Amino acid sequence: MIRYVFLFLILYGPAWGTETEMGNFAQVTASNHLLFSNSKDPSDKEAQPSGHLMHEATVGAHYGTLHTDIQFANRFFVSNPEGPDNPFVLEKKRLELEWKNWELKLGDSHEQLGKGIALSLYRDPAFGIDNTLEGASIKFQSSGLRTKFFLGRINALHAPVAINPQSNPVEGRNVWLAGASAHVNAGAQIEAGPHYLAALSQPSGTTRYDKSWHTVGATFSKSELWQNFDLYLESNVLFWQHSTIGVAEMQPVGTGSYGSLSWVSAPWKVKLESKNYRQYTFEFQKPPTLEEEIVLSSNTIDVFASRLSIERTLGRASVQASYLQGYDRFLDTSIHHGVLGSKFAGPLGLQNEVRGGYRTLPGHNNLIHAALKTKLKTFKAQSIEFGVRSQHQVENLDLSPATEDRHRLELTYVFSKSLNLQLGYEYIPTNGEAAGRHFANLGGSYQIAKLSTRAFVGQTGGGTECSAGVCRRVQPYSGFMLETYYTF
Amino acid sequence: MRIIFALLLISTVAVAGKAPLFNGDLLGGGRLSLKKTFEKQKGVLVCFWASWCTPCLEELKNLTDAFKSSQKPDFDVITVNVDTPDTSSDVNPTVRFYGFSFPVVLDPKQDIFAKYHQERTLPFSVLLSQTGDILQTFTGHQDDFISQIQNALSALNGSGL
Repeated sequence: MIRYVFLFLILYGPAWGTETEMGNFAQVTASNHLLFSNSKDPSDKEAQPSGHLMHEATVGAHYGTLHTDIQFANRFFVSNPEGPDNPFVLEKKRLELEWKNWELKLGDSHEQLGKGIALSLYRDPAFGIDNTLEGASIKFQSSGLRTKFFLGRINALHAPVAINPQSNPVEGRNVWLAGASAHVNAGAQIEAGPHYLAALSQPSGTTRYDKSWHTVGATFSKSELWQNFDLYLESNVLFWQHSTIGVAEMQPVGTGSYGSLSWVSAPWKVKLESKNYRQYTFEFQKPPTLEEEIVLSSNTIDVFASRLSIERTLGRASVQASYLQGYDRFLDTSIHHGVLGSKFAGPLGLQNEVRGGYRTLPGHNNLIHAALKTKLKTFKAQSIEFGVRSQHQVENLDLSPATEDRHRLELTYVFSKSLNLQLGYEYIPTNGEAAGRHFANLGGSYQIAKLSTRAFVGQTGGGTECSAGVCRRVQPYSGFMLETYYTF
Repeated sequence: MRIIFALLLISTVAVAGKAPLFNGDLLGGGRLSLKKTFEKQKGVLVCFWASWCTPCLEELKNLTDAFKSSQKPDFDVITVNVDTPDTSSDVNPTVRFYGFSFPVVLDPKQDIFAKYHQERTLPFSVLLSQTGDILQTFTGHQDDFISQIQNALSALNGSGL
């Protein structure tokens, strides 16, 4: 009982009286995210459902050019009170100060170099990822120059508020970072400059480093290169070594390059992109993938690919086509992926979006995928939405069900701008009897003022899920979930 | 379970709120301070968008058309782009393609977005009064977007706040 009282106090304690305005310049805000889930693996008939109560809160203050916030979290195992729990975990804390052309950040910040090939510390709530640099960063920006320097260690979430969180990537070790970048604005919309990153992995409780990385890179961008052409180029070289006690072993040099050339002239949009990652082994990055978020995304360590995408608007409708060709050096096979899509309005105000494609990794996974979304307005501010997404794996022209086959159907009724209900159904033809093949669920969301609530009951089939280009294997789910967000 | 429902019940007591202030890098160079925007003594609409979000682009197109019309709306618009590095090279071409003239604050790490909308779903916009109070939030595409904004601002002006 005491733990619930404590939870109650830390959940809502900071909220009361936070909505104050101190003079004209100071401001305090707070936000809460609460997730309760009671679930079990549907394939395990013997398992008992277990309940989790997860919570995170952020309290921030802004005074003039000074901004600070702290984020704390807790995770309770409701069905197993004797299990491990964290009544209070201070996840992030940050102090920001801006003065003329300078910006100073102390505590946690999301740092990135270039397009994320060399370094990307980012947040992805779907997988409970929020990697930050815990240390200091200083930035100077003028009309002709942008420079940044940072130093610290990686801080990952200890109590992520997510159903399928990623495991802590710095568990049992510290990863130290020092980096710098400079960009010169050379006029004529040209910006170019180098960056550097040093990273060290130190096992906890030791004074030695088991891995070290050094990255040197440069970026170049030019807007309006010639008649509406935009150009971006980036290249990185990674030197790293792995050390056991007394022996340092230099690893092969990695390289990571990306380039894009865009041309826009209404009603046309054309983009040519290319990536070439060769033996680029660094965990804290998020490089451009050039891929749709479908399962079996190619690796980002040893791969080459180029993609041409074209979009043409036709009044209120549009047509998109893209084609990717490349080579996956891990699988030692070529990649081909063509996608065709369209958005168009139909009779009775029907809004449709259709997209489909075929991806082939010869000798490995060849996939057909298709998706359709359609929306029909019914009454004032009400609509019904229907979505279906299907992917089918094809090997050697054998069309029988295969491992990555998934078929999903969603039907949503929007009652108003604050309330909607959703029915979902998923069919995985290759699952065994125990795991089940049919998964149905019911969900809904409700929003009023600053409170937003989502509820879900039923089953999902699990498998490979992708969010913002990051794919993870997630477990099947059977149970109910209640999630609220509240901003004070 | 009772605890959870009690928490939900308490959290439905809504409080009028101030918008979290932010400073951010602008597309094309320079910085934008939300606080300085309030110096114009006008309502401010903060629109979060991404180059791949079709309904967001629809809303921005409608806003652009409204600002080009003879009856120009009496509020300022700040847009916050949340494209991640995978698609960030599409931002400038998209702005040119649609002819958007509103300031574009770049938020590739979605730090500003998270302050306003933890769920981080698009489209999402927030209407602020000239003193920085949150008047209304807009989640999802809404056909009567601009008229709702004008109604909210009219109600505010009518109330004498």
